[in-house]
Amino acid sequence: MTTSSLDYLPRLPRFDYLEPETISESCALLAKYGGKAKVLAGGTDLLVSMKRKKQSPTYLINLKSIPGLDYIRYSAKGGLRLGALARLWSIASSPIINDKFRLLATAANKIGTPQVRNMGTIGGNVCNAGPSQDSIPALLVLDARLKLVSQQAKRIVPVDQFFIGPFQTALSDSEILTEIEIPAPRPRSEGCYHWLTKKTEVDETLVGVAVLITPDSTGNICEDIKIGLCSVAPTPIRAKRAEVVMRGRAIESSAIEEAAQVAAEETTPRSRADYRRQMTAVLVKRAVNEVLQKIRQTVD
Amino acid sequence: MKQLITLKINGESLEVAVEPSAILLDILRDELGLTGAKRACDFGDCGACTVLMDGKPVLSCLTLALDARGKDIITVEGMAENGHLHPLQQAFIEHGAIQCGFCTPGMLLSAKALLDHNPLPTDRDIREAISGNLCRCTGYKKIVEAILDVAQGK
Amino acid sequence: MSEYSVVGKRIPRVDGSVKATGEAKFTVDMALPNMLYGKILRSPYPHAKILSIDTSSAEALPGVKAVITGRDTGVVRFSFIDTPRYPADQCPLAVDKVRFIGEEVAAVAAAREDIAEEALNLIKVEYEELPSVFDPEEAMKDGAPRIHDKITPTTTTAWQDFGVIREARPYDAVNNIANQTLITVGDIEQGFRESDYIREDRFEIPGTAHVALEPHAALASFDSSGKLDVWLSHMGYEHKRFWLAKTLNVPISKVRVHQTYVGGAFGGKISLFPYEFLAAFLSKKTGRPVKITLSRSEIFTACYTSRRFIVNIRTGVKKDGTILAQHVKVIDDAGAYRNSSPTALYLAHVFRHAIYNIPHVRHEGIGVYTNKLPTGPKRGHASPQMSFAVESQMDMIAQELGMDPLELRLKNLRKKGDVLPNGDILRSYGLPEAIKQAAESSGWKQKWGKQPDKGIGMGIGSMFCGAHNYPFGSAAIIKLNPDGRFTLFTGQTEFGGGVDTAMAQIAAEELGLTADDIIVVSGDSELCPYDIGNWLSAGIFTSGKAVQRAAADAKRQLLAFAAEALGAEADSLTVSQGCVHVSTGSEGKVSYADLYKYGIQMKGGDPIIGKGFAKAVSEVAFWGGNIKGTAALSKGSGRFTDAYGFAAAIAEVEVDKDTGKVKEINITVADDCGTVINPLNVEGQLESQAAMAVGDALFEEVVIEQGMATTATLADYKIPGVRDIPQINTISVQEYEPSGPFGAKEVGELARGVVIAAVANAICDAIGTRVFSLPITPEKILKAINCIEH
Repeated sequence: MTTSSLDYLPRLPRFDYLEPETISESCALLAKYGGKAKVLAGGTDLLVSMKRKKQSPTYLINLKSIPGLDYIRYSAKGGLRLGALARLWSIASSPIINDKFRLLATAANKIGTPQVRNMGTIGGNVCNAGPSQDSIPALLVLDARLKLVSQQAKRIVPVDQFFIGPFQTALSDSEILTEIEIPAPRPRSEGCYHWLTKKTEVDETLVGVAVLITPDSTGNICEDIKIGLCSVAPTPIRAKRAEVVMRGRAIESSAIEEAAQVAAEETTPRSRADYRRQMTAVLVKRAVNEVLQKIRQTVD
Repeated sequence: MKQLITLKINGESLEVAVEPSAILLDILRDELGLTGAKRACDFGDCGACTVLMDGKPVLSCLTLALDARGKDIITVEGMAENGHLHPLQQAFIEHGAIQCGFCTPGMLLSAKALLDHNPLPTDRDIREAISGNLCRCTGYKKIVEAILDVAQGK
Repeated sequence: MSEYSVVGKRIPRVDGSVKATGEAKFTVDMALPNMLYGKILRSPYPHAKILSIDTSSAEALPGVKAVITGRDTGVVRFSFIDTPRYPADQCPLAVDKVRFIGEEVAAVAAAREDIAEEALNLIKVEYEELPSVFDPEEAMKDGAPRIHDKITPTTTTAWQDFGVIREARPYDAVNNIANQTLITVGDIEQGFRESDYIREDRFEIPGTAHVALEPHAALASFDSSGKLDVWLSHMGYEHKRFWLAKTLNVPISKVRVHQTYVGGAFGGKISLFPYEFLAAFLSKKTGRPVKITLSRSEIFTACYTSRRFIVNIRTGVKKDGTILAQHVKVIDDAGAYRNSSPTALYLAHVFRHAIYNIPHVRHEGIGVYTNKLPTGPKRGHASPQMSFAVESQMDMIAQELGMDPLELRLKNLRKKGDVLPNGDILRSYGLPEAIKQAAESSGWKQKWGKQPDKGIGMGIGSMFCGAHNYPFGSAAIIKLNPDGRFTLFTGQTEFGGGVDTAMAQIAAEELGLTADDIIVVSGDSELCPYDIGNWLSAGIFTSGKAVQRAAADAKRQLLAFAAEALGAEADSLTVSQGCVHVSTGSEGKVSYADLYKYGIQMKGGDPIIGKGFAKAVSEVAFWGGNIKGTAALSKGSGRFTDAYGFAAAIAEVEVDKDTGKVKEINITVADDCGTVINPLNVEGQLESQAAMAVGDALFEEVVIEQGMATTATLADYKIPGVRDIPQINTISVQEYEPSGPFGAKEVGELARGVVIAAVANAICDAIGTRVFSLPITPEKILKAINCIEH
């Protein structure tokens, strides 16, 4: 319940704006100001949150003043490396991502509006850690790893260990996400991202399903499968039990049906729960079937 | 504590004193008298505050004024040149794509950014480009028609 | 209508370029020297007594210039409806208690917006919470918390001020009943007795938000002479001016509503809002201009939504589909204040009575107070709600009888020339033609009942063209300029529909000029004569007629001067291209510019100034205690309107039966708005309403939980974006209306309701069962499908 009239009034609280020129400078600032500072990338999540009075950091640390954090690089050996400040539009339109990691481009293109994609960054999206954020199921199924840097250390955290709760991550107050690494795709792998929105076409995702399947050389057996879900649990999750159902089996309708049901059972949605659970099953089925089509096309 | 910054707006360098927490939209409207960009929802959901930053549509209601330094900002006031309306402005008028006019500045800029980068958009490209600009008056049909007309060089 | 040179043409709107360049100033863009910013403190409780308010800390904050509470504004009541029977029930600031979350409790004016906001935090209000009631059917039960005490008017009511000589009576909202309506035609029991088949259904329609892109805003400035200047985002200045004058106790002639561009309205800006009065109160107190701009969240949670209806319909038909009897019961969940409830409950009937010829009707309406956000008019004002309910039931009846729903409707339509039970005459009646063209265009015959994977549905409706509501009519003045062009003064308010342009076209047509030759001065209460406003579906019909008559009056004067100047008979003269011509023979013409000079030089200085006026409903009046034929909202007797617009919509949908999502909608709207003054405007209105209806049908709803409006941002409350809009095909059926200007009628608020009905019927056709409430969400669709399967 609204207790304050100010909840109606979206004014940005005051803060000091710090503009480091290197990552280590920004880490030093974070270490210095601790919980009173937040890093600012595109602003589409943080500034909204501040206007809504959900956070009032005394210091904002601008990451955009650090050059060279917005790269998209690929090598067969190193895989895909995304600088945390790569804008969502650049990920959605990147030729290499569309070629080798199409579901990530699809997911990035779903986020927000054109304006939001021009402003928002992949790092910001990941660190905001909203339960319904579209990029995350894609990163989950792609086995992404996150490079976190602080004044003292660097560490790599697998993406499926990064999300602790709604809008809560393993990132400490003194760490910055600098890079996302995604291993090169395994041969014959195909994936896709399906979603339903809450109401309109351009809208928050109600159920998001990312699927990545690596078939055997015949294209009939599922060697490996990853299923990433968003908006059906406190954090985006992998539907690991559903994956087990399909792993090693022939990719055919009864396996798909079973996996879809199991995936639905792995969800813990809070609102519109029955519908979200049902739709998880529907979308897992549709996503897996679409991937199957793609696999068949490649094999043929 | 205000600091004096320079913003490049519609090709002109303008000096303005801003707090760190100053929002670009507020500076445009309240300090610089450029009221074309509108405040309609405050949280980035409607696109009425859209301006172009280095050619790309962004939400000025979620942009710090400080982050607009060193960028090329175009507002709707910068679309007409030497008293001649931009072809998109002309087309919007001729097609009936303007009713109350409140969404129009943002809509025009999203359309301009599209045509500047993609001179031959499909109907689908156009809809995608303006998908972040809400209009309650027109039902969008004439807006899409106007943009398509300009793209087709009519 | 190719006989016209300007009317009927796709003239680009006169205010297009200023809007395209961003020059157009809306109220939210306005600033005056020395201006203060106002902010409002709102109730956090749905129902509570105000025990005390301590404003001292707020007043002490540097930069704060005034803080006001109910003690300052007093028990001065206002409302959309303020009649001897239903006196106004709302105050600008809560006096002794609050009745909904968001109600206005105090207001602050300060040098900066952020200071005003900080000051709100410093106002200490002590509340004693009271039990609340949120459900209208619960609110009517004995023992429910009482929301309003007996109201005894402290002044004359508005309608007494308008000239109705009747005693205002205190109103006691027993069982939280705010108002009631009962309209009867024929003998309902007889009708049901003679019916072969009777069905009864209940429909629920929630409140939806208008979401005009420009936020609600008011700028008020008192000067030291006691004159009040205001700039408002609104729909008609007479209504606002009257209430500002009455509430602030200022003579109405000293209240000036200035022209502003208005960023959309859709019915959501004509009700009276506390923030408008508070800007004026604060200005009076500080002696400075005060501007109040509401945030989007304030608009969603504290500005009236569309009306929440529960509609029960019992209809009796013969085997062949003839409707004999219809008993309608509407519960209007008004919220904390009555606002437009009596009007809406009346319109719920009269918006329908021009469509089907039903001999026996009983229409009961009851407005109920609840501790929720009050409601008000939104584009169609009861027509969308009733269209959804009645048209849904029509399809169900058709199905039971094994009839094509189109045939069922055609069978029961009225006819051109019909006199309705209340005396209105259907001089133009384009509904059968609209149905026919919509059906042809959409391929109804080929599709209905023949496409297993799709659904097709229709909705039909009617809409008034003005009614006898203050100020009851419009006037217009048109004056000749030295260069031969005319300046037109019309009190109409342009908020997007193109009325300024249409008025220019009407005047131009009459005077043989182009639309560019008419300079339109509109929306300024000081410069323009009285006007019915742009919210009673009377913009074109009433004000347009006033404009046409003003132009005709100017033309007569031009011809009189020209006859002298040319030495010809007045009836041998015609006008075209800015000149008066002698029509017989080839010689003799004189330009308007020269006639201007002629008047000054040769006629003792006589300027050419045309005056025209039109009453909304010509035959009704009240004067000196006599009331002639005016509509009585609670009984339905009396003349309602002089003409009706008609529309038929057909929608085609596909429903994904696994997700419940509706896709691939096509919408065809055929609208009889009489003569089309400007096709761009008319198409714009139809396309607009089709888009709006998609939102109404599929996902729009102001969700109120325990009195709290939870849909408070444009992220929570979605309106259709460009990617949500299907193919929209619009058809103008131009059935000439003899009492309209050039035969024109209304077009701005009918299509919304008929498209909602069409989409609902199409969805239910696709899934083979009925959903009885809006919006028709995927979950409701899946639940309905599940019900058939079990």
